[in-house]
Amino acid sequence: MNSTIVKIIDMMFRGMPENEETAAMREELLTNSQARYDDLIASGVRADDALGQVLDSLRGMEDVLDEYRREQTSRNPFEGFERIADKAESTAKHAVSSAVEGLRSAMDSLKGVFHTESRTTTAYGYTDAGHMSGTGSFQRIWQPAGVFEDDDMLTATFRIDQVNRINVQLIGEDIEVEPSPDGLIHVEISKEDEHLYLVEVADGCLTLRRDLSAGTETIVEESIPEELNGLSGIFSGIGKALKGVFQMAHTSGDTVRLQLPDQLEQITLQTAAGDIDLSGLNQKALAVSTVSGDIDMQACRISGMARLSSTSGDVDVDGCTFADSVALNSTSGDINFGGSARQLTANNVSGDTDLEGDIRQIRVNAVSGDLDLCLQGAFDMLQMNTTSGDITVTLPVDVVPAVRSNTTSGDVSIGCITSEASVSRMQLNTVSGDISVENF
Amino acid sequence: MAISADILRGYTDTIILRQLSRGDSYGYQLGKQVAQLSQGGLELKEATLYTAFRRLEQAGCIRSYWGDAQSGARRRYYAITPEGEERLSRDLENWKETKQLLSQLLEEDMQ
Repeated sequence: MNSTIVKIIDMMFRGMPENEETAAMREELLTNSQARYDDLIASGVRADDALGQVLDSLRGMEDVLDEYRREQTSRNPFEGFERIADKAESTAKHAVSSAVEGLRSAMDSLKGVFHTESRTTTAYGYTDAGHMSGTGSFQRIWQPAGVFEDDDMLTATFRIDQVNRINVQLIGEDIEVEPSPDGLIHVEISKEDEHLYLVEVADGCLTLRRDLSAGTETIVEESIPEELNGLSGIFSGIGKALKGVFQMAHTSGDTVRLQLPDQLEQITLQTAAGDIDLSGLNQKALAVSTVSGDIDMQACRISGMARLSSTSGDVDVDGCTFADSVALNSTSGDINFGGSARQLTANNVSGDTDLEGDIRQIRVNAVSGDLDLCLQGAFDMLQMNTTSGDITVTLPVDVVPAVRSNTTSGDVSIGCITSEASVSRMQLNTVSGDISVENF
Repeated sequence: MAISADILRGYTDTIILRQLSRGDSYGYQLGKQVAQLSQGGLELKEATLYTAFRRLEQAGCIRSYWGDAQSGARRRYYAITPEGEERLSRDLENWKETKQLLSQLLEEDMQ
């Protein structure tokens, strides 16, 4: 028997009445799933894909088990009431106990707790809320379409029903983001250290974060009972924002890889010590920050506002288009930008700032770093300030700016044609650095 | 195939009985046979199979028995009963009539 299959089936049966019928159902399901798995493996399917297909074949089984559980517990005049109470309580307990259990066996299990308007359901790496039931009241919020695990990687896939924002808050992990190949959200986490991750979907926002609290079991008990506190928990969901909590416990933490569908409303990524790599994205709004890591952004298109911040790391942007504004911040790292933007703001303390491309409005501030700007087209407004760094601006020949420059102890060299009447206004200030404006 | 999903669902029991009339089978095997015969057009998930097996067993149309243990767990086989055979032939009659009726109604002007 494949131990993962056994585990999945056992989790499904937790909270079921213990009797012969239940044991028979479990055994039947187990042998069928194993037969499916063996068949897939024999036909050359990879182990994790085979497990995924087994999970997929079990969709909707939970509804069947729920129904069975209800049949077993409805035998008196208070039937209706008790059924509701029992269901609420048992599903809540079921959810919490499975979640706790999952964390206990942190090495190889993970599960979701799935909370909606009318019911609470546990998920074992899958859930199928909409399965054939046809009841309109059951609203699907999100769905981990599959959770697969192999020796060094854990992957969760989310459908994006009603998810339009992503919020990732991590500590030491690197974050890599790229476009989704299939319109679903994919989360992939490498397994190296032992960390607990919490994925929560609420109000259209998918949040992935590392939980800082120490013991894993504490985390679950803190994060779940409020949502799933028996009856009150179930009913508190009615009429409010619907929530889903998805717990992932495993041995991991080095790289979190996300694949995102295009044009989500907002993407927020934070990590403390890790690098953040973004490539090929087409998104509306982006807020990215790391403390000591580098940020690398390649070939992205952002239609709304973007902010990239690193404290001691470098911020590198290449081949990107910002239809609106982009803000680049670093304290001691360097900022490099190549691309186009309607509006660009860069703030740096001791690092150098190097900007190149087609930018209409530019504001750059630094203390001791040098500022280097190479514009490839016309601009409207340019303002650069540094205390001890040098400022160098290079322009196309056909751009004739109005230049105002101030330096206390440095040299000023204007090597291009200027015009006081120009609409392209340039203000360059440095205290002890040199200022140079020229054509290329 | 999406359009016919509802129609297919109405025939789940009949499809299962038809398979069992060829010989005893267990859940996964039966599901696989159906998938192959329909060239992937119909996939019976565990949940569907379970519900149908239980329904048919309670109605006396099928009975189940356990196979030999394989690494600790046994397969549950299903066999069609005489009542099941009767039900199957009734369903088949119904299907032929339905098919003819639908064909007359829907394809009349295409002939």
